[in-house]
Amino acid sequence: MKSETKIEFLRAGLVTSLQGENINNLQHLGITTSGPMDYFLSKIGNLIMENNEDDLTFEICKFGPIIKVIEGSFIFLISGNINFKIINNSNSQKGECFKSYILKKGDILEINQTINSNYAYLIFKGELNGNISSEYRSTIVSSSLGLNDGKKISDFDKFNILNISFFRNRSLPFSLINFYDNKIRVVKGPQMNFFKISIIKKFFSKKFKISKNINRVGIRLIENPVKPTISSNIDSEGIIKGSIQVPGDGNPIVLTSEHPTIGGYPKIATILIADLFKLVQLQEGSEFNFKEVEINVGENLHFDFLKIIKSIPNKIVYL
Amino acid sequence: MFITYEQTSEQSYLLDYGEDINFITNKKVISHFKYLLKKNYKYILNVVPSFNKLLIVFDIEFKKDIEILIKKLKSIKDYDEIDSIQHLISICYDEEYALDYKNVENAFSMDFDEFINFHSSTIFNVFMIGFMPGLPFLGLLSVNKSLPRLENPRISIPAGSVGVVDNLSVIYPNQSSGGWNLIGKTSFNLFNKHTNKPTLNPGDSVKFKSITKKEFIENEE
Repeated sequence: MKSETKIEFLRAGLVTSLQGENINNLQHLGITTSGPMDYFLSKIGNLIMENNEDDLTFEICKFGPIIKVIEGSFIFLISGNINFKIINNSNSQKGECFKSYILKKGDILEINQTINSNYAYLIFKGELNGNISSEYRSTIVSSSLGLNDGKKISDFDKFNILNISFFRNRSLPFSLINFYDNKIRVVKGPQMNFFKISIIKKFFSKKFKISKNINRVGIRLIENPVKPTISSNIDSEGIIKGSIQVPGDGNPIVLTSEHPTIGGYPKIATILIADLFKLVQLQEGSEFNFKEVEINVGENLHFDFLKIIKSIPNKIVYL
Repeated sequence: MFITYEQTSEQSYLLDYGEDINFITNKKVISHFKYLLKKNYKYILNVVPSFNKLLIVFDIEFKKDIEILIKKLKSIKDYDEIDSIQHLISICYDEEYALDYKNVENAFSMDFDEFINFHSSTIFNVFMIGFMPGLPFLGLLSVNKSLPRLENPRISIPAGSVGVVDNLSVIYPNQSSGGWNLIGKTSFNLFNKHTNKPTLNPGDSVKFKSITKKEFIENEE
């Protein structure tokens, strides 16, 4: 039996947006892949809820939304490390991440600050109605394209969700904290030869710091400038998520979900898919090191990453 | 066809067709781009042509298939089964929009009227699309003089502005920041609202048609 749930965002949060599957096969038209910044958390959250791993989520950045259930029941889970509470009648209950909840008409979900991280995911059970296109399964906030007319969530936005009435609450009693460390592994970038050997050594031996410029387009790194010697420009070429490009001032930019589709700066290295989601969660001022690995090592780490994700359904505990 | 190729990450290859920005090299890139687009391999996530390179992003579970494909690609030449469209784009070169006409006059040592004839009689090739959705990189103007980017890029350029740097031209599909020398404006829609996709494709060609300010304003309405 299907029923309809209506929710309203009483507060949108800092940058809350609908993110699901990467947008593929449009990069040649200048349209970026977008998708969740921390794709590890979004996939895990979806799998706990027995959704498809790339189903739609509400991505929350640093400070979350307040959501009221207008109609029906809202079945959700939060994947991440964030403070939230559930308010029904006048009772307020602190929520736990990686644990599902069922909210009834009139209940309120108040999501506040992330803890030691930047992104968290509100995962829900059911199908979002309206505004869903087949081509765009994520929002590109920076170019106003994709889901929700390319817009981040605004105050008082309403959504309808078609859901199934039978649901067993569950949780993941398994800490993901071990998957998050400050060791960010990379492979050689296509223009590593634009940099002197001494500069490449410095790139790997000295720590970088996350600047205040962190968003869905890129992450600017500071305090270890690595200027290219040959030239700070190349003939623009296609670029990917995780590429580390270095403009003339030597402060690298890590390309994230909404990166431009082509770029003209030399790229010193590329972060592994198995590690990029960790970097995305490092807060402003955090320090970390890059470590170089060979491509075949990167491939194996990628397969390990896929295995971890696939193992999640076996770890679910029904309550 | 390509000179070298390199696996640049667990999920991407970059194929290199030559050093320069020229029509012949780009045609090779576009040839392979069109071939891959037509074949629509499910393990290819993105194919991104640029001036002289082709980026292929693939599903890591299909590494063997992609290796075979790249070897096969090497022998595929002049593939043009997907039609290239020639677009005729009206442009108004009025000084109100050609904010940087003086830079053009100085760099190319010609007066702006001469430049208008020159620009509007050139058949441009769409080398690539990118930087923002639907922004075409058009070439080549047959000049061998340099016209650099603006030293201080503009914070806001109106949608439809046409810019020039060296022998390349672009059209800004949306309002944005940018450092290209502005030479005119068009009301041509670079983004098709019905398909929700850009109008131009890599490999298409573009010819500009000069219109008066009056015609341009009527067009816009």
